[in-house]
Amino acid sequence: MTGKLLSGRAPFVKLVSLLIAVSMVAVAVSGCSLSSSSAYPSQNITFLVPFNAGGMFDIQARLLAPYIQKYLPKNTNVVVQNEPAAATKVATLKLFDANPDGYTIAILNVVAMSTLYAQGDLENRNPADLDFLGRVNYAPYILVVGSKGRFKSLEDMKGQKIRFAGTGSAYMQSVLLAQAIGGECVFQSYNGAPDAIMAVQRGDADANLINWDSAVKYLQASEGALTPVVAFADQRLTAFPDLPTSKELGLQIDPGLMGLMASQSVVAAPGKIPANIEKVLREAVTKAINDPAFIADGQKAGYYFGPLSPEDTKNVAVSVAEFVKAHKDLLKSK
Amino acid sequence: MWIQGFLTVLSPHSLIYLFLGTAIGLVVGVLPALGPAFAVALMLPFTFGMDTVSAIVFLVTIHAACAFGDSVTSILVRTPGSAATVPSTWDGYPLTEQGKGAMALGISAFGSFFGGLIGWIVMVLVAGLISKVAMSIGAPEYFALGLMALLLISIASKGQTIKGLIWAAVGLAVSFIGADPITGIQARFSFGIVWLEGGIPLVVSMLGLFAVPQVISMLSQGTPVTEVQEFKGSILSGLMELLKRPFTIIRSAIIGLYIGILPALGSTVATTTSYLVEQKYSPDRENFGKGAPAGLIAAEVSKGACVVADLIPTFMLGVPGSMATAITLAALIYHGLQPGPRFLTSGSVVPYAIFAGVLMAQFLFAISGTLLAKPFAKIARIPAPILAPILAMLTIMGVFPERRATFDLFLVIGFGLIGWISKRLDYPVVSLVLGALLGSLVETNFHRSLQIGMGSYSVFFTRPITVVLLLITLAFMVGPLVTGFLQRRRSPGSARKEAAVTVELPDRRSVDIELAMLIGVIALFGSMIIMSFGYGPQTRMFPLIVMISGLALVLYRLAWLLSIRKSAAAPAEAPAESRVRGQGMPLWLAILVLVGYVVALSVLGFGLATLLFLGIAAVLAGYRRRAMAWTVAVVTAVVAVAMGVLLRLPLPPGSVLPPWLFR
Repeated sequence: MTGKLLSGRAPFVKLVSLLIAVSMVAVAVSGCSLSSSSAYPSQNITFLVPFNAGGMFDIQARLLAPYIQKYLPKNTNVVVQNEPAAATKVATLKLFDANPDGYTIAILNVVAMSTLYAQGDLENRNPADLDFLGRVNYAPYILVVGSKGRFKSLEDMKGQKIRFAGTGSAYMQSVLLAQAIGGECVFQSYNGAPDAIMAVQRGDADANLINWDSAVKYLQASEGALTPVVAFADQRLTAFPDLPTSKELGLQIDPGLMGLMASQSVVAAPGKIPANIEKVLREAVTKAINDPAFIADGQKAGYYFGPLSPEDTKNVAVSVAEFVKAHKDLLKSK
Repeated sequence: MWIQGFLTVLSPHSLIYLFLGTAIGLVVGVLPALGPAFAVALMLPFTFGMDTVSAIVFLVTIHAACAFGDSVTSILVRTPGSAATVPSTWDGYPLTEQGKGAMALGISAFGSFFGGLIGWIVMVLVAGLISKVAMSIGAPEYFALGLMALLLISIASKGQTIKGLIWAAVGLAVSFIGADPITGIQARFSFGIVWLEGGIPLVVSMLGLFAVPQVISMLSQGTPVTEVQEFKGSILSGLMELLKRPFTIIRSAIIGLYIGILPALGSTVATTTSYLVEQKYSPDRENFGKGAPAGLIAAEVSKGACVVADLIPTFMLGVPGSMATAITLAALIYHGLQPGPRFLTSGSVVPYAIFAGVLMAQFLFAISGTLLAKPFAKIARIPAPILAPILAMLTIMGVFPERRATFDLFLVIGFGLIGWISKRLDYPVVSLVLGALLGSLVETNFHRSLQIGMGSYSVFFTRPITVVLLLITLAFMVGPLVTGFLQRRRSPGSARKEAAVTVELPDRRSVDIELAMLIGVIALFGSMIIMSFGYGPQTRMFPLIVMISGLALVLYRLAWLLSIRKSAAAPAEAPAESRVRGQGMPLWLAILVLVGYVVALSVLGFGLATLLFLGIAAVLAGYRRRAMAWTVAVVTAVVAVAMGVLLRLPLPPGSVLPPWLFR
């Protein structure tokens, strides 16, 4: 039947009608949601995650997304999109350059963003231009050593050459910490936190700076092979009541460095979103990160959420970024 | 505990997820380029709402079924489902060409099953013990292992040493692109392109090297994979082949286990290594590459073992063995399960149920593989002008979701050209693959080792495992030299006989092509050498050594080519690729059409570009029934778009037409 219909003498006509047919099907199939001029939000919100699926920040974003959804009007979906390329650079740039229409947000690792900024990878973009909506995770670092290792305490390390293991995001902190105690850092870079911790357990490295919530899991699994030595927080951590803080041990740590000594994830949107849209977005995120059920979800997965107001979040993010930029010589190629 | 574990997994509730996981894994696996990591990542969010056992069993089943599914396209149409199944193409595809596709699939199904079963037994029996050993594998040990694996390049380039070494150097150069090995912060050799800063994803290079040349050759030759009408051999004959070779199974399983247990070494290393080792020791070695069942068995068994063994460090140490297991680990942690030495002794039945689920998954994919093998095998008979563009489309669908970068699509074609040139000039692609896989492993661990030893090289000589590995490597290197020397002492005539074997000289056109290619390589090495001087001394050390040695080899080969060029024979009368009259398109056109497809993708978006490409390519490749070709094009494009929506695959959006028209 089709043969008869199409056996005309104008193959071009055939082609065009085929194209039209396909376009119509494609429209139907792709389930388009036309972005009409109706009030915000009228389509899905993209939640960029500059990290691989299954990683720490990815899990946090996926836990948070349904809560943001809950507090947005009109059943709007918040869709997580992983984009780890080029060590978070691609996704971060995407965030800066996204349309300020309230449909793009991202979760950022404060340290990773600051590193990009310091190395000039953000070109002329300044973190201060972003719209910070709130902080999700706040997990201060603790310093962990091997129980049978060369150093048993911070005192032992003073003035020594210390072998630190860690991922790239702990590099600067390790170097500066070593300097602060008059020692020198010899750094081994690993692809993931578990590998770095294993190196300390094995005795290949002496110390590892790691956020305390991940540390709990590893310390338990190591069955005594790892010992925490100091926590980088203003007060003792509830999970480690016997662990002294850096302040108690008399360590002089620059406030800027203290900001770096924690794993912090923040939710951000591009700057200059129209005020009425921004208000809706901001409120939804604020309510989501303060929702007790969300915090409970996080605890179940082993994360400690420390929500902050948008203003405080911005202060934290910008101060860390500027600190890293001021110390960018440390990031030079070895 | 075990009985309870099995009962839990066999409860109707979990069984559903076992079957669903197998189905999803198979579907995603059979789609070329979409590998286990993608499948598991895709399903991860769905598992948050499930109970723990179902969630983990679901993910593990998907992983296993996907790994098996990946072999199907590798064997039938030489389009690897993931980098890990590339070695399956080397002997699996020739078997399909000979009409033994069903047998090859049987080998794959049962081989993966045996490997998985052995892996499971090991996991259950000695997981705790092995974890302790795995703990003592640190950077110096990985470095020594990497060196040993690099040696395999010599096996891979038997008879073509210079070419093999040059290609290995190119592979190593590719692996150096990416983050620096010292701090992990700086980007090396990115040539100013942001997409190169994180390195080149494995899926891009592997698919480019193996799938694209296949598409090009199918388009330009126009003949289907196999024209054999009757399928010789059944799935069970595949099983027979396996049972005839217990030593191959054992060797490959051990290698797969070993590499699976070590974090950081993935299944691609397992299958490649296993294949090459088997090639060295198998009585059948002459047939490797031409359809030797032993080669396929080696690749499949080690893959099956590796996939299961990857779970050992994941469960017992909390260190993921691969990308897919990293995601599974995240699910574990989300559900509050604690990985670690205490995994099995925590008192809960959940870990046992999970282990039981892993075993069931092996049975399930083996059974489905057996049932589906014959229907799958028919795919090989689809005419090339129809099948080849579909494979190209599937490759795009597999590569694009990796980073959503149009650049990757061009990169895939670039690697495709490298793969094509390798075939044309008889350069061993395996060497390039090994270089690309092992380069960063060796370099990163070398530098880590130095940091561990605080700058002293003694770290390589004071750790027992490292020393043993290095000695073995030395033995492998020196061994052949010694035996050769002793042989010559015993029979001085044989040396002269060996030298008398004539090396086939290339014809004039091949010489010219090779010269052009080598000039390109010189440009690559040269520019990378210059860029190295912008990095610190440690960061540029390895690249400089490799690049300079590579350059020396290239110049040596260049000189030789120039010297024989004058006396090189003219190329044979008929074109190099035999073409059935009227079928196929010229090589340059095939490449142009592919490039055109990629450009169209970024302009017109996936749906429309694919439609046009499928139709135009089929017609240009000589498919006579135009209406049929265009109908297939429309249907395929629509199905592909629909699948993309269903699987939430990101697909290229157009830039010219409004985004809401296409995904």
